[in-house]
Order: sequence, then C-alpha cells, then structure tokens
Amino acid sequence: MEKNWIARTIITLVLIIIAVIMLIPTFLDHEEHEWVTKINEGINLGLDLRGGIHFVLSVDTEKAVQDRLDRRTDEIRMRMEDEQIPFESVRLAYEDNSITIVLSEGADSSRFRDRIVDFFNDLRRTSTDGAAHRFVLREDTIQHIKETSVEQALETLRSRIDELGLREPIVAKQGENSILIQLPGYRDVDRARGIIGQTAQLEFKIVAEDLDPLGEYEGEIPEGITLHRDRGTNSDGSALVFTYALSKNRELLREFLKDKAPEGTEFLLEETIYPNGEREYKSYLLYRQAHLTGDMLTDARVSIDQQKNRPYVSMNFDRNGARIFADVTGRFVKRRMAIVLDERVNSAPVIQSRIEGGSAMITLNAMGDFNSIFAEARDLALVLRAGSLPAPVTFEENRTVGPSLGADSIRRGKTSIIIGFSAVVIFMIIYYGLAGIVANAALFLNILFIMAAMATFGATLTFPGIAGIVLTIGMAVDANVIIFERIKEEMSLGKVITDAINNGYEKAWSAIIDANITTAIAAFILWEFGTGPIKGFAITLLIGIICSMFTAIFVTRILFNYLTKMGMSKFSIWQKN
Amino acid sequence: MSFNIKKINFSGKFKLFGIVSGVVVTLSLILFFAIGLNYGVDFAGGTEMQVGIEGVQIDDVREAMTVFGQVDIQNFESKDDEFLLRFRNVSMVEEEDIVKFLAGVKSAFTDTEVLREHFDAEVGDRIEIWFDKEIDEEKLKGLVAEYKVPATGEIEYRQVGERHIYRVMLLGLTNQIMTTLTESTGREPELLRVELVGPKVGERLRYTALQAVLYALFAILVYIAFRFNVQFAPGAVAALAHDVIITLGIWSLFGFQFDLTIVAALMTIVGYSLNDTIVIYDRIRENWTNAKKGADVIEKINTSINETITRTILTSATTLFVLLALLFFGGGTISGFALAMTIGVLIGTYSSIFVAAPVTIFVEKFMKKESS
Repeated sequence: MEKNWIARTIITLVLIIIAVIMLIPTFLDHEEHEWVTKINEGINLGLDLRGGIHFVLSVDTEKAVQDRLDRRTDEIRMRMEDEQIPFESVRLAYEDNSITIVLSEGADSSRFRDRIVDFFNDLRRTSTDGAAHRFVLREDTIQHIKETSVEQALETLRSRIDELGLREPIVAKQGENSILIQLPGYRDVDRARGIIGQTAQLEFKIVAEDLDPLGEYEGEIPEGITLHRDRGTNSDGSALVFTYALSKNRELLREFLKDKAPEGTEFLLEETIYPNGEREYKSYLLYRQAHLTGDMLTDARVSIDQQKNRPYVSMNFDRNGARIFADVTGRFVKRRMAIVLDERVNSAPVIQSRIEGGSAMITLNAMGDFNSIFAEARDLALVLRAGSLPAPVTFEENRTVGPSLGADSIRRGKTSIIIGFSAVVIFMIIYYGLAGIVANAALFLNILFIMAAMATFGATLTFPGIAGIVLTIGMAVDANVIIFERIKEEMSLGKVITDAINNGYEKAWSAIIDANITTAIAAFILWEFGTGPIKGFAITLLIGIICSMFTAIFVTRILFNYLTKMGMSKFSIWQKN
Repeated sequence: MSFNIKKINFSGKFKLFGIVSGVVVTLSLILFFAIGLNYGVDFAGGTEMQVGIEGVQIDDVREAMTVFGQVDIQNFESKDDEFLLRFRNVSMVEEEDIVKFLAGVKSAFTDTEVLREHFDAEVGDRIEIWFDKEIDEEKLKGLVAEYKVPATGEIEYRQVGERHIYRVMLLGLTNQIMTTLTESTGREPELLRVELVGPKVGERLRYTALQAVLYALFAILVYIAFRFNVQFAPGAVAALAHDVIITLGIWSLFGFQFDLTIVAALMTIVGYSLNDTIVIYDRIRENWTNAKKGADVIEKINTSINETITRTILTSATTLFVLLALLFFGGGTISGFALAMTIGVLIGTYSSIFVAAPVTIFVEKFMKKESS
C-alpha cells in the first residue's frame, strides 16, 4: 500500500513537470527563444482570437462540365473534317448541355458511328432524328469532371495560399463542392479575394499574321475604330504587311471584329493603359491552338527591367514545356507569339530566334507608380506559380475578425477565467475549509493540464473555447463535491476518517464516471458536427472532462492520504456531524 | 458551515410542480411555433458586422443605415462606441429587382439571344448574362443605371466557345456600408468583424445543428439504458426535452438571437442536466438494491433526492458563479451563450428533481401494473 502512494505521487509529479514544459512555448516569445518551438508551437489561437479571414468558396462545377462540352464540340468538328464526314452543323445547346450533330445528305452513317461516336466515348447518344444525332455527356463522366475540378481547385488554392507564406493556413474540402479557407492573422481581405478568385489561365498562341481579314475588309469602318498596318512575316519566312484595329471603345471594337475571324482563329484584344488613365484596345488575330499553357510552368518571379525601372514577371517552363517552347519558337521565327491571360492578350512579342532554356516574360499593362505595379506583378507571379483554377469559384461565406477585436476577446476571456476561478476557489474554502483547499489545488492543476494538453495536441483555442474552460472550472469541482458529501455521510455513520475517505471515493465513483461520460458524449458529437469556433468549444470541454477526472479523483486522493498521515484529520466540514 | 436541510418531502410536491412544468412546456411550445426563433446570421444567412466608431450615438448610426432597409442595430452594453449591424442579405440587391433588370435586358437586346442569366442571391457579388453574340456594353451599362442596379460600374467580359459572358459586378454590402457610415457620421469607422453567410449555407448549418442535437440525445439514451435500468431512460429524456423546450421558448419570447453558440449552449445544457439526473439516479440505483423488500418506490426516490440535494445545490452554485462571470465580463459574442447556459443550469437542476424522478416513478408503477 505504501509503495502504491509513492508511485501515484511520482506519476502526478512527472505529469506536472511535463505539463509545465509543454506550456513553455505558449508563454515565451518564439523569436527571442527559438529553441522553444522544438517542444511545440504553443497554444494555437483560433481566427476569432488572433484575427484573420475565413472563406467558404464553392467551385462552379457546372462550368467545368460546360468547358468540357465546349472543347468536345470543337474537337468533333475538327475530327469530322479530318475523317471527311460531311456535316451540316455541330451545335452545342446550353439549356440542356447537349451536342447535336446534323450530318449532310449522303454521309456514311456507319463510318460516322465508327470514327466519331465510338471515338468520343465520354458522350452518349440519346436520340437520332433523321440526320440529327443528339449527344450528352455520360453520367459517370459528369461526376468525374465535377469531382476532379473540386480536387484540382483545392490543390491550386492550396499552393496559392502557401505562396502567401502565412502561418498555419487551412485549405480544406467541405461538403461536395465547397472549399474552406482560413487565413489566421491575415487582414487584407481584398488581396486575398483577388488571389483566391482569379482563374489565371495562361496560354501561348501564335499571331495569324499570314491571314489578313482586316486588310481585305472593304466595308465601312465605324467611327472610333482605326485600322493600322504593321510589318509581319509569312509562314514561308517572306515579309508581309498585315492589318490590325485600334479603338478606345472595347465593345465597339468587339462588335466590329465579330464574325471576321477565319476558321481556326479568333480575335483577342490587348489593353494599354496610358498615364492619363485612357485605355486603348488593339486587336490580334490568333490561331486558336494553344501551344503552351500555364500548367507547364515551374516558376514565375518578379523581375525588374533596369532600363525602364518597371517590374515584370519572368517565367520558367518545365522540361516538356521548354522542349515545346524551343520547338514552337524555332518553327515560328520572326513571327509573333501572343501571351494570353484569361482570354486577354498580355503582349505579343516577335520571336527573334529559337529560344532554348525555356523562359518567357510577362510585362504589366498597369499604370501607376512603381509600388502598385510591383504589387500587381507579385500577385500575378504568385497565381501563375500556383496554377490556374479548373473552374471559377464564388465566395459563399466570409468571416473576418479584426486584430483589435481578437485582442479584446482574449482580455475578456482572461478576466472571466480569473473571476470565475476566484469565486469558485473562495466558495470551496469557505464551505469545505482544508478539504476545499485540496479541491482548489486539483482545480488549479486541472487548468494547467487543459492548457498543456491543448498545446501538445495542437488544438485550437477559440473564444467559445475559453467559455468551455470557464465552464469546466465550474463543473470540475462537481466530482469533489460528490466525493466530499459522501465522506461526510460516512463520517455521520461513525466511521473513522481513513475509512470514511476510502468509502467516500469508492461510492462516489460510479456517479462521477456516468455523469462525465454523458457530458463527454454531448461534447464529442458537438465536435463532430460543429464548425470553427464551436469545434473549439467542444474540444476544450472534452479535454476539460478528461483532465478534471484525473485531478479531482486521482490527485485529491493522494493529497488526502498525506494530510491524514500528517495527522490533519480534522477536516472541519466532516467533523461537525 | 453546512446546509442543515431536514428531510424534504419532494415527492409530495411532484403533482404541483408537474402541473407547473406541464404549463410552462406547453407555453414554450406555443411561443416557439407562434413567434419562432430569431435566427442569427449563422442560420438565416445574411451579413453581420461589428464596427467601432468613436463619439457617435446609436441613433446616428440608425439614421445612416435607413437607406439599407431592414437593419438590426445593437449597441454593445459594455462599449458605447461599438455597434452590431445585422442584415438579412449578403448583397445590396433584392432578387426581384434583378429579375426586373434581366427582363429589361432581354427586351432591350432583341437581336441577340440570351442563353442564360444567372444571379446567385447567396453570393450576390455579380449578375452573369450569357449572350450568343457580343453586345454593346455601353447599352448594358445604361440598363444597369436605368434599373438602379447597385453595380461597381465594372463589367467583365469573357468569351468561352460560342458563349459571350458578361458579368455585371455588384457593390459589396460591406464596402457600401462602410462608405455610408463614413459619409454620414464624418468619422472613420473601424471594421472589427464581418460575418457573411449565404442563405443556403445557413439552411445547411441549421440542418447539421438539428442532427447534432438528435444524435447526442440518442447516444446518451443508449448509454443510460446500458448503465441503468430501462425504466430510467424515459425520465432522463423527459427532463432533457423539458429543459431544451423551455430554453427555446424563452428565446422565442424575448427574440434573443439564435445562432451556433446557442446550439453549443443547448448541447452543454443537455450534458449538464443529465449530469444532475445521473447523480440522483445513481443514488436511486444504490438505494433500490439496498432497501428492504416492499419499501415504497416513492419513498426510495424521495430519500435519494434528499441524500444528494446538498451536492445538487453546491454544484449548481459553482457552475452559476463561472457563468455569471462569463455573462458580465465575457462581453459581446459570448453573452448569449452565458445567458442560455445560466437559464439552462437553473432549469436543468429543477428538472432532475421534479421531472426525471416523478416520470421514473410513473414508469415504474406502470410496469408493475402491467406485470401483475
């Protein structure tokens, strides 16, 4: 029996020492004492306490499905031409996401089935009405596209946010197509929205100088649009002259260019912003085929043009991208290659020679001072490094807590803990005397263990979490009250103090364990279902229950053992009856 | 110091308190269904902002906010220069106004086909219109002005395949409010906190919360049935239902805000009330086996309640101490939680004695009658 007490005392002391060590990183400055981070990162404060941004985004998976249909429509058209199957039209209907192919008269329908229908096996034929064949995407394909677009968006957002270099950001899937993002300590909501929300699709396309639809255009040119000529290079290397349009009115220019692009090409615009704030748009005729895309980049950085003192973004391609880049630049020497970002021409430099090594640059059209251009270049480099989003995202939920409110919450939390703790401590001493002091010691250890456990397991402390700790203080003494009242009963039956204590603990046990387990069940389910701050409440409550069981039963028992041995058996409360 | 409590005849008052509880629960249910809960941003969706403006009265803020329609404005009792603004929407626009605007767009662009129009009230930051060809953006801007759509003036354009997608970007509610506050009060407000929840998300959260409470109740029931006799379970459930219903009734009556923290409080009340019930049950279980054969059930239960009453009072007292500390010093967002818990602890203590115990007697008598 004697040995048993020594072992229990040692266990308790060791746990106290461990708890104190585990709490060192929470109370020491990490920068000043770098070694402390080797123990743990300190108690992790929730967004509501340290301030920060909480977003829930939804990925527009419908759009990802439509993009696939768009691409399929183009591909079907191209393949029909390649396979020389005559057709009237290939049309995509947006209302029901179906593609309808109308074959020309005399088209070989078995050849159509073998070469087209069987080839595009993610499409399912729903009906055939004469020469019109209607297709939709297969269910499992749609499901797959939706799932992968969320996964990809998650990956992309994760790497974009990693680039921000924040401490402990959270990017996680939530539900079917939502993504949760938490940026602790971050304040710039607008920048965060910009970086998270940009689609950032980068493409490299060759300018179709050899086609000159505007040069051949003979109709009326609307006011506000001017045509200009520029020297270019033909596909055989000979010089030529081609025509482009300029306008300050983007819509007017778009309207004018509509339907003028030959098959396989498209008109896209480049925007120039002059120092006086005026914008000008220049037309580029581009081949639709994108030779290189943003997913072939390995790096994008901000560099500074020393001569113009202007920041720009320099990019590096991966091995495959570098090979394609060298190949394309070699094939199209002296011609222009357009860098297209989210359907806008960023620039279209002339390829001077075959470019080995795989790097390219993007200049910024922004106006403004050096710092604002630099900021824009920095964010563009960031989203390019992280890659493009497979589908647009929309912001569903936004919770932002300013840093001053967080600090205020911490202060209020501390005040509540101190006052609540003091009230309970004073009450216990007045009511139970020496035994009350024993219970208070257990209560103090309880708080120490809760904090140490939170630091050790990296649990997040939120404002409701502080409420959970405060509540635990009030409820933790319950176990002691049950035990003390039991001992009192035993004493009134005429037992000696040691027997009364033993019986009291024994008989109280079942009530304490049942009561705590049911509370733990409630806390556990709250933790399972809750979000953010509520999870924080549940976790502190859960940890609090476990710690209070240990301190209120195990630790107080040891203390009573020593006190009775020291002859202090006159616990006032129990002596009266 | 000690409570010198003579044996109280709790069972003699079961009938009286049974009637009281029955009436209060019925009233609470009527209030809950007639008035309903005042759902906070978490469950109803909308925007909640906490702003600090020095030297401004709540009436000034209220006046500045009249342009935004229905706004709930509160002043924090602890700080008179901090305000809580609550809006039912997440954007400046009403869905029906958008419908009118879109109808206007359709009739204005007769030569183009509108493939799809899209306004997500949940996000509310843009209206998206798909045309089959390009349109005159100036004309669209004109329509935006004509229908007084609160737009930023920016229109994004994208071409995807054969779709020409125009996005009319709308003013964010937060920006709009901060600007209005600055203009009308002449001071720079500080944005302390923003919570913005789309209505569909709110609905989902509401469903999850309900699920959580039901699962918790079920899991606890299974545990009690396993640890105690089956006839103990109905009493425990009745007590829990009693506590939750009355708390909800009070919340409906006073129109207190019902949000996620209140759900957390309800769950904790469930845990606490059960804690109380179990301590009494534990004693009943003990006296059940120890008592002489033929001892009256009512007498056994009455003895058990008396033997645990000191503990019941003491624990409720210490818990109330800390809850009052939270209520008075926790401030702002936590005061609702502390209030719900305070009420819940009081009701929970009462229900363990006056609901759980009598129901158990009733069940016991009923089962005896069945078996004889």
